[in-house]
Formats: sequence, structure tokens, C-alpha cells
Amino acid sequence: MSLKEIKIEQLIPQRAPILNIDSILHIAGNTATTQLFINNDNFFLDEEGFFSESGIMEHIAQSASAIAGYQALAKGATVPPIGYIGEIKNFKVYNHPRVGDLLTTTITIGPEVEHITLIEGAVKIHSEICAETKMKIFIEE
Amino acid sequence: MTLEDRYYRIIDFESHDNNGTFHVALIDDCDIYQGHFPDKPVCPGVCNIDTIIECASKLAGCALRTVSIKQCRMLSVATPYDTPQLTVTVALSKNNDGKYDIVAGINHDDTAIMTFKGILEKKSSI
Repeated sequence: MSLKEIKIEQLIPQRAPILNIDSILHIAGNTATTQLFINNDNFFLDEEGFFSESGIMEHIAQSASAIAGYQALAKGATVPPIGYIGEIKNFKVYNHPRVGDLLTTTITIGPEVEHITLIEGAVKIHSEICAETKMKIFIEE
Repeated sequence: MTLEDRYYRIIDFESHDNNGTFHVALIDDCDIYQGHFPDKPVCPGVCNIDTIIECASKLAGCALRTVSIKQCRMLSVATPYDTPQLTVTVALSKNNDGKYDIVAGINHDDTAIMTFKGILEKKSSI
């Protein structure tokens, strides 16, 4: 199953205006890379064109959820699973993304216990880190 | 993006120094629910975080944004139908860097929806 053939809507249930990931670029082992281009109609933009911290968090959570969706699809699921954020820990913003920025995000998947998965997310613009966090993601079967 | 009067409405609030309690009503026909999720409206956790930030901004008297979150626990799912009214409590204190330490929470009646601890700063300090 090639990642290029998969639409993001097959992997997560979120839709506009809250959909906040464009694609999974690649998955290898416990690590995946995702992307989001910040369009001028993005829900999370403020009046000055800054992408909010909540937008960064939602993008990271949807990236992790999309990986779970990819794994579910590979096992034959036809409907993407719903993922919820259970906890955000040590979230830090170093640079505030703006409209027109391309976010490239690395997600590292940790252990899963009773449908709760620990993940780490790091968001970069070009090669510069702009935010990072740890999260617990609850995936509903 | 401002969520007041789009995602929630403030029913009333009381504040004393840098502590505030806000009673808010969720707006059930908010466009967010078209995508979160289709046919299953659930409050996005990050929108609840932004509700806290907007209430904190009212308390501080200036627009604030998040610098860091030490811990934010999302304890129960909120929806505009199951939890139509929420209570947002915010305690701010200015730290040595001129930023704000925040401890906040969201409850529906006796049910805890979210707890939030972090650091905010004035938006104009860009």
C-alpha cells in the first residue's frame, strides 16, 4: 500500500474546518513524518497570520492519529479510527509558524497500553524546530 | 481565530485580582462540528485550551498566547449536547520573566473535563 495512493481522509475522521494535516510522507518502524502547508484559510490562523499553538497541537495529534489510521487500513479497516488527545506534556513553542509555512513533523510512537499510545512530536519549518511535545493519544476502536 | 461567540458564549464571569471563574455555553451549531466529527459532534480538546487562553486574556486585559504547557490532561469528553455549559477557572500569576504562569481547569457540573498548567505571554511581544 503506497502512501501516495492514500488520501488523508482515509486515515483520519477529521474534516474541514478542523482537518490539519496534508499527508504522511513516510513511515519507518516507530517513526513517521507528516506535512501541513498553512493555507490562508486555515482555521487556526489569527488576524495577523500566525498559526496558533492550538493549531500546532492539533496538527501533531492528527499526525499521530493518521499513523494509527494507516495501521488500521493495512489490517483491513474501512473506516478510520477516532483518536482523542488524552494528555499534552512538555509542549514548547520556539518559533510561531505563519501562513505560507510548510510544517514537517516527526512523530515517534511509543508503547501502547489499553488503547492509549504515548507519542512524541517535533514540528519543523525548513530544518528549524518550531515546537515539540509529548502526548497521550486515545484511539477508539 | 477567536472562539468567543463562535464556539462558546460567556454567560457570566467573576474575577478577583488574577483569578477568574467563567460560565460559558457551548454553541451547538458551531462550524467546528462539521469536521469534528461528521455526524458525531465532539469538542476538540485544543478548542477547550483556546477557550482557557481567551478567558485568561480577559483576566490579564491583553491578548495572550501559549509559550509552554507543563501538563494538560483531558479527563472527559465534552460535547455541545452532553455538556452544554462549562465552568472555566483561571489563576494567573506574573513570573520573573514578565510572563504568566497559569493554572486552569474546565468542569461540567462536578465532572472535570480538563486541567491545564503552563506559561503564557503577551501576544504583542512578538
